[in-house]
Amino acid sequence: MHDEKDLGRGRISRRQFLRGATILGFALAVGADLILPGEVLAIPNSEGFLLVDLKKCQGCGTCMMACALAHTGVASYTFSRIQIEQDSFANFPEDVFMATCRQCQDAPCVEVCPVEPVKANKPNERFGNVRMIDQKLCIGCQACIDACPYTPSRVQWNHVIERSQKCDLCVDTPYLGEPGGPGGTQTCVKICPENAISFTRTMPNQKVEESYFVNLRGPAWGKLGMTME
Amino acid sequence: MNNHVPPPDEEVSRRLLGTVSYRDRLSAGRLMPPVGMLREDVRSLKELHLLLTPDARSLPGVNLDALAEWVRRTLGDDDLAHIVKNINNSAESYAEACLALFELVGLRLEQARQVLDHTA
Amino acid sequence: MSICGYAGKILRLDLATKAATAIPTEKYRRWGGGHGMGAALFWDLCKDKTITDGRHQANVCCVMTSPLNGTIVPSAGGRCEVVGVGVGMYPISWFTRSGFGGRFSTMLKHAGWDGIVIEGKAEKPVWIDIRNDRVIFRDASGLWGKDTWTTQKEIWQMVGVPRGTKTAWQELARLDKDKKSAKDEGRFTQKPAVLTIGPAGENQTAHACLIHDAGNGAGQGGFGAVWGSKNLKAISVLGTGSIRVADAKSLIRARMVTKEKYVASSERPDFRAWTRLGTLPKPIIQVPPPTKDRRPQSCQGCINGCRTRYNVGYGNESACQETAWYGPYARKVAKNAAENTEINLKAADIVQQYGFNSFVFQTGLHWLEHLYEEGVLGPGRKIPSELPWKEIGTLNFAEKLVHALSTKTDIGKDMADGWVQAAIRWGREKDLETGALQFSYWGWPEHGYDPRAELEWGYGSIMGDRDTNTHCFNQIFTSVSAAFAFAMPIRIEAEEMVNLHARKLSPYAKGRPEVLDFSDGNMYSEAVAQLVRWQQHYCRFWKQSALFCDLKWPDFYNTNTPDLQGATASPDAGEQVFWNAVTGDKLSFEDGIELGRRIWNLDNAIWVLQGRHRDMVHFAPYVYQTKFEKGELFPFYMWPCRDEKGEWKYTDLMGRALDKGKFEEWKTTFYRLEGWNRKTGWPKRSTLEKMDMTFVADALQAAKRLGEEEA
Repeated sequence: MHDEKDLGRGRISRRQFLRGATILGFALAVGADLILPGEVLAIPNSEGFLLVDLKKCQGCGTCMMACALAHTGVASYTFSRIQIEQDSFANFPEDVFMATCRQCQDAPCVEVCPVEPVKANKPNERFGNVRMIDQKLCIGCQACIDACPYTPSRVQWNHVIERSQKCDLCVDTPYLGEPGGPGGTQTCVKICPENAISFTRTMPNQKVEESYFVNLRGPAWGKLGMTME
Repeated sequence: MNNHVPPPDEEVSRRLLGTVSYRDRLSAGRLMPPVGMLREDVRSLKELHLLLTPDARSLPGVNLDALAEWVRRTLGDDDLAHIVKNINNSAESYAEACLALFELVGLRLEQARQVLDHTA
Repeated sequence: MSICGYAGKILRLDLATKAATAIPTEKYRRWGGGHGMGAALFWDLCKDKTITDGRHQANVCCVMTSPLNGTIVPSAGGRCEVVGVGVGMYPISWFTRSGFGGRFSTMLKHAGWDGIVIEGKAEKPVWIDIRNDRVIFRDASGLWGKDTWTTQKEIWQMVGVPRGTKTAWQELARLDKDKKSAKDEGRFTQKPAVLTIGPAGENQTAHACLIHDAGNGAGQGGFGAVWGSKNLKAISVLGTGSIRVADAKSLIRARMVTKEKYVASSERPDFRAWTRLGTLPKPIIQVPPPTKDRRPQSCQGCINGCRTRYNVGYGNESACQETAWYGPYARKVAKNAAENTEINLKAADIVQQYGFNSFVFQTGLHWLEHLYEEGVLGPGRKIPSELPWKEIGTLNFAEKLVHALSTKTDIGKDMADGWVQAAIRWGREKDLETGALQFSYWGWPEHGYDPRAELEWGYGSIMGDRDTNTHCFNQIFTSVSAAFAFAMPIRIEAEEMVNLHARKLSPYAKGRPEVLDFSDGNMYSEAVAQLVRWQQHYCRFWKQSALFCDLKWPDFYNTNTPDLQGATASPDAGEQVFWNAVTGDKLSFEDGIELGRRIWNLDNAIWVLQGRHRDMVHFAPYVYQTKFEKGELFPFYMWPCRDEKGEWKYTDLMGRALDKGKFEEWKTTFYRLEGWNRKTGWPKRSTLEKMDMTFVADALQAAKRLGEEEA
């Protein structure tokens, strides 16, 4: 056992560790902030990620409309948690962009959520630590929207209920008709007519933005006369 | 079947590489689903070759009997007309016939060019 | 009907007074949406339904959505319908229609509108800026004269939306930088959906069309000229709303079923599947693509896109006929296949940008070539033209031709009111008798499915208002003829083919495969009349009002399914399944057919007020006077027919003309079945009253054009 005179070298005592572990355990039990001693926010990794093939998307918006439908029973672009942007007057491949939530490891949208004692935007440990927003707790400060480092922000603003929302890998999809979340179905993945979205449990390289962009085109794609690259 | 055709003479070669009058054109078309059928009349052997060029999206449309007659009467190439008839009678399908004709017509055009190059 | 699926209000624009008001959709819900609603709105709001030129100030043009737009109904989420009196038809420009796809209808629904009614004429060119509930009339003088693509890009800029992708969320309320709205109107990442005219529409020429994005067009009907006559340049829409759906769970399930059961699997693809709904995403461009660097591109909600975008800088979003109109000529000029593709796709870009409907060239360009070759048209000739006819096939010629037709210069001046009209002006009526000018019905070009062979196409067109352009059945011809051409096994034999159809042709032709027998002995039969009725009624509701895409629906047969049954009318993914999931209605497939019948009757009533009489319902003379010769365009036209023994076989339909007298008898049969007076073709009161359309009967009676009752 280390005695307290070792603390000067930045190590914690057993008592502090046990105290911290107790706090941590208690915090996990009640879903409180994952604040470790030293004010470090520990966010467990998500167990699911969406990958997209930017060259395969046909820009039909079905994923957007289906996402909103599965979550809320209404079809919408504004309330969709996946955004497909397209410019009809741009050339391939810059004509379409697929903006999905990356379930970031460091989750800036979680970190910045000011709600206490339990964050509104946080990993959901019951569903593979999916970063999702509890709209009952959300206070509508929009800090998470601004904190998302990607453009467009992967957190959306629902102006009707004045709360933020985001992709939850279909955890909370009362209209999907089958279980969602990392262990279940993702509406956009299943419904995309081109199969341009896939789901993986392997976290992409967080340092490389393009690690979420993959090639989902099988041999049939090449036979249809479109690029396999 | 032997579809060998001897090279044309100079006079026939000139006609084969020329363009016939509008009134002597061969009525032809193209089936392009779902657009339908489009007219694509032919006024030269070169245009016939273009019509017959294999294409994944469409099928050339030509009455093969009328084609043989047009080759004989308008282009004045009895030898070629004879082979066209042979192909028409022996091909296993219309598309096969078109492919065989495409190759034949390509060969004939090349023969005609060589004859005229040689006599130039 | 319920409110689900609908936005709840229709935008009514008076361009003369710059007034924008809202009509409750509830008032018109009995008509479904799309064409039905548009026709009913036209009926109520057009003060003079006798007009016969769409450029008349009294014309009312409606751009209508359906409850299915903006949802995930497969290949119905993104279509839009335009109705009004058209331009350029002969002898009368009927109340007509055109459809287009893309994003416009979705965005309009999200903005909170089920449609737009356009009345009157603006004093100066305007464009309409719709942002949710806000409707702003803007000065279009800076846009007038610009092509459709430049117009759209400039409108995006004026609205304040950046080009490109990877753009940030924008707040609708803050787009107007000078205007600070207190209300949060929501955010968006999308571009405004703009519908616009180009120079062709501005000059009010026949065949001017409406263009949206790069390649979506309301082509037929001359609606570009209608907008031009109203000084309306464009409508732009941005919406941040949503569409309530009655049963989202069922909707999602039905969509998933469609993908899994009816569409070719990308893991085990059947490249030659016989189906309409279930093909692989093969864009229907009519030339080899210029590059593999491309993606499929589609309307909103489509199950497999028919368009494409490339990296080469041309041809984006063009498909089908616009990529084929110049093909016969470009092929002869191009040095190689790559150049042929480039010319064709750039020729498509030309018509898109001018806003000119390329379909008129389907047979029209051959006629012009004919006139040139015959020495009648050209520099210093009887029909003067300085166009470079010797260069036909080049891009230069294509651009100059479209420019002339769009700006009423050169031959465009005489052709501005219609091509048959021009033929008469030039003393070329005989071309309609010989077939040199194959404009078969109402001054519209023959579509590519000759009325002497494919009866439902021609009959449906002439009994209606335009080239029907409804591909319900003609895949039979293309699939079977291609199989014959390659001597490939026939996937579905003739008898099974007709039975697969007949199972779904309720109510008029259910279990009656003979309705598809187009043989000489059956071509003027009551059975064929029932098929034409079914087709027009199905299309008027399911395709033109509910807005299921014509390219994908109906899906009668489908080789992706074990029993070959298609999705149409199916209990798991039929049209009615989707309609009911969205709206909460309990419509049967047959209920939809009946709704289509009512809409068709409303249309006919408008035509009657415009002056229609059975005596004018005739094909162009060449259809009766000349035969559709074998090999004229293709060596055979295969179709299921019964032989003398009553056995079904695929038979060649080439080699015949229509018999005018027998066609007259067929018309009588058709009128009888429709409940229209047989002498005039006018609807009867008894027919209309049974359809709750007494108001129509009263109007026809007041105009002395009500069909007399018959024994």
